Amino acid sequence: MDTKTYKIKINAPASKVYNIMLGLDSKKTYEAWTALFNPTSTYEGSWVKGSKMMFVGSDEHGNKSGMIAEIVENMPNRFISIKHFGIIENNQEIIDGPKVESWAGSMEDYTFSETNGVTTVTVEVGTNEEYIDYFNETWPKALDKLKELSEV
Amino acid sequence: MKLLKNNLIILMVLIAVPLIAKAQESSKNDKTFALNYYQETLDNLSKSVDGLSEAQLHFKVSDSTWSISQCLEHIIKTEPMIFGMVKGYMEQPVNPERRKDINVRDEEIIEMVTDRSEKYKAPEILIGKGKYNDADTAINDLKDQRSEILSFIGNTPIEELRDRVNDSPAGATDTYQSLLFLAGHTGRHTLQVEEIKAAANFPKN
Repeated sequence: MDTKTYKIKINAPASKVYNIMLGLDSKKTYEAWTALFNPTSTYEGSWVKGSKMMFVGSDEHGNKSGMIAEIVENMPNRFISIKHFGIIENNQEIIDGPKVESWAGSMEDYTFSETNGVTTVTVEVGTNEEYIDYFNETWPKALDKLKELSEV
Repeated sequence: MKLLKNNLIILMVLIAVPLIAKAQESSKNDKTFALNYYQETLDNLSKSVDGLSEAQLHFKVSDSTWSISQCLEHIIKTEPMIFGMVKGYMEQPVNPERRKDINVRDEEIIEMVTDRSEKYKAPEILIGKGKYNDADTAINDLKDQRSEILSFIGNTPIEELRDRVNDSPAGATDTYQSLLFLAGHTGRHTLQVEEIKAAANFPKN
């Protein structure tokens, strides 16, 4: 498993960027920037530390699919850490077996650092070899969208 | 054709941005309301029991009624129990298709729970034994355990609460309404505290 890092500077306070990135006031802001990964991307759950969270979307057949994770840390406006431990496929939760093994335990961390009203968002994400090109292409676009939403 | 496509994209962006802003605003209002209501119920209870003596806390209007100490204990036992139910709801998948079953408005939830003319019998496990001899300790206990609830509200989008509908004594209600019920329950027993304090033979000090 590799860890990839993506960064962006956003002209907005960390509290605003954090709120929009997680969709705390409305999931629609989360859905807007993650639409770059999947137009139906959303989540079910809470960002509170220790919560189970499901990052889901519809697959090409209209079935719910995605990742099951735990929020292992949440320091408001500063840091959030997500640990993936399962997948959702065809509306079913799968938490063990070969399909899960390659993802189980992978981390996704978002760090927010504000200086003079400019927030640097750093995303560190564990990924398999096969997703590196996809992430390298999509994460920067998604972060650009987050910037656009946050700077309104 | 390209121009048409570009115009369509611009139009979609123009439509989408206000929609996102509107959803954010509405959701934010609900969250602010809930957080304010939690603060209000805590403040009212704190004010109501502030400075009460041990004798006043343990005073009972009759043998069959509760003391203020018991009311406080009941509140402090009940909030985590209801919050446990809320956490249980969050473990379940969203069911927005059941929103149409909800026939009760948020303000009606609060009105119902704080209506002291309707009496309910508390389960034995939630009945206080009168363990609090000073009000500050009780209020601090309540504040401590509420921090988890307030963190939960802060970190959970309102849609996630609205889209989880469950059956309750008030019929189908969503999880946001369960959280209002929780705080309203404290409001209800704050009114009970005021009733006890208004008794003619309530100790002067």
